[in-house]
Amino acid sequence: MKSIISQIQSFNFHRVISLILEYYHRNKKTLFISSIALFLFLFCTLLLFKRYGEIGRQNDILQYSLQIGCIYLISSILAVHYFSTLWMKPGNISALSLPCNAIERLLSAVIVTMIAFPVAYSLISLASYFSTLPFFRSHDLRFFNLDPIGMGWISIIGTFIGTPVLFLWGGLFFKRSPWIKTILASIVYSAVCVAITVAIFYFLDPNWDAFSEWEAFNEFFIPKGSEYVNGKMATIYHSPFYFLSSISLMTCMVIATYYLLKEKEVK
Amino acid sequence: MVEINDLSFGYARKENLYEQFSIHFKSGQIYGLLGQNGSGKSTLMKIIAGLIYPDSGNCVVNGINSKERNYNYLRNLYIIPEEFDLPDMTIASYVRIYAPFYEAFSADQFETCLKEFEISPEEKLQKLSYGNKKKVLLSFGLATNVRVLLLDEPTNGLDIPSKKTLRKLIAAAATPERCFIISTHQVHDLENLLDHLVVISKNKLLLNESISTIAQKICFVPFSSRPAENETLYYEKSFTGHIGIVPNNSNEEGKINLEVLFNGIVAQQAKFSQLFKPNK
Amino acid sequence: MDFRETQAIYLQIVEWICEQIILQVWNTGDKIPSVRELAVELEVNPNTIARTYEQLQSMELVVNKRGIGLFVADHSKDKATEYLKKQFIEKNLPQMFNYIKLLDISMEELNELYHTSIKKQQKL
Repeated sequence: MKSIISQIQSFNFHRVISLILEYYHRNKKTLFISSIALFLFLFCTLLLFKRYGEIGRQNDILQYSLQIGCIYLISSILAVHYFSTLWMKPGNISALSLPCNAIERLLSAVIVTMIAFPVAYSLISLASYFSTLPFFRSHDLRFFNLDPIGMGWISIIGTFIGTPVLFLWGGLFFKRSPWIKTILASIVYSAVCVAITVAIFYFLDPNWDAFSEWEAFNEFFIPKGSEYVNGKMATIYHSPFYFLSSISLMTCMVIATYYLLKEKEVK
Repeated sequence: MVEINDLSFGYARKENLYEQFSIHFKSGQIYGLLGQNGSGKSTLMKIIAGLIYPDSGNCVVNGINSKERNYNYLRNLYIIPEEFDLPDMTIASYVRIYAPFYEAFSADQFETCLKEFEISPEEKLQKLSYGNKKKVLLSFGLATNVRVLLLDEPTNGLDIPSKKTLRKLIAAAATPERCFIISTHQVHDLENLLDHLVVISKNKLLLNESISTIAQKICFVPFSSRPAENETLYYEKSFTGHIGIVPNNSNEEGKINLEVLFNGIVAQQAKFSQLFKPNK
Repeated sequence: MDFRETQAIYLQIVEWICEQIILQVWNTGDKIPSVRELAVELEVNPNTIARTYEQLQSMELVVNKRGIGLFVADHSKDKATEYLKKQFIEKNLPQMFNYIKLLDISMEELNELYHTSIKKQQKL
């Protein structure tokens, strides 16, 4: 506790900016290549979708999911990589002895992975979407949809904000193949979030029968007709309990990441 | 300035490198840290830099415990490891990005050092040789104007003129507020710069004395033939015969032959620890 | 500057400065280099130079003008010569005599060698 107070007392936002700039300059090439790759990949797949895919809502969902999925994938890979200088020999000695507080380091990572990445990659995704438009007739013009499967904004934000923290943590926690292990951890993480929500629902309303039937999940994954998401599943994602459990888990991850940063050694 | 108290430390699944180890480093001094391979010199530097935490005991630098490792701990410390990795950018951009972390960084000083080493700031770090990369790091470290500088084998990879330049730069940078801790195998490279000698061996502090105290207590004598058993504390073959370490009975200080001293201390630990016993 | 193996560095620098004074590179009234300047020039620890300067002050070869720095003192040339001579007689001569005796060099031979050496130096 004392050490957190001393860190807050010596907190300096300029250093956070310096840390972000340091990250940017060190990884300029990677960031540039990943942006170009994302743009080209989305551009090509969108063209293919529109050329060969059937016109309809299901096609749109696939297309939107692809866009969101790519943004999510790139952001999480880079989030795992964010603290890599702290464990990669022999650079870790210089990286770890750079004068800054663990809190400042964490904040720089949060700003980059939770705000800068989603914003930048969404813009690239939008740009690729709009650059495909001239190839088609005007009826294809639909506005970019960030929530194609109707998860609700709360859970979208939860996903984009909650998972980078998990991936930041995974990058520090797992010494070998952090990426795969973090994905496994993220599955556990989402399962825990859903389980907590279900438990609360069950506690509040033991007769609530949504989870006695697996149908609800099937309907979520295999859309039928015009009703894409089963109301019961949507209820989970839209519920304040899901939001609260995500937020609290996220907070735990932030604290865990802070301690990992503070306790990191170069052994 | 740097206080290590009752330090115990060991890497996982290995014998402890340090046990109940205490040593203080004062400001205004240049310490030479000597020890055989694997004796824990680099580990000690990492502990001081807060990059490795003691298993027990503590390390306090400028009044802050290394376990804190916050901005105030790190701002007055710079470590140049033996192996390092520099990002892919020019020297000028490196300085632009990393200098803001050090309040007292002097761009002029950095430029002067680079010029002395004959390196242009426009060069790309990745294209430099190991020795030249090291010169950039040394220049950066000296220009940060931090109070504790930890140099792990600084002359390794430097050519002969650069070693000379480094000696000049260190002499210019050694101020009463600063503390240099330099580990080295190449004892002759920096010997005239050292104030204080620290010799460590696994688990033990074999010697921790100022150069002048050492010179008051022992001297180095050439022998044309092999010296007798009790004539010397230690002797070894030299170019012209034998060179031996004997107690200094005169009031005058001689020059210390670091190489012979180091070999002697490692070979005759008991005799030397008796001689350099801390007296009240 | 190359340091010999036998004597403490700070004393070797004292002797070097004495030579500078005798050779009139440094003259009475000259300001001598600061501790740091000389440390950088000779590539030695500044504390060593500080010790050298203390020694020079105690030998009254240099004087401290408060706030300005150290200056070469009056009659420093004589004092420096006297000091180096004493050092030479105490340290180098006995060794030389040993060799002269060992190699059985006569005084006449030595005298001749000395004069040729002096002539050579004058030509340079």
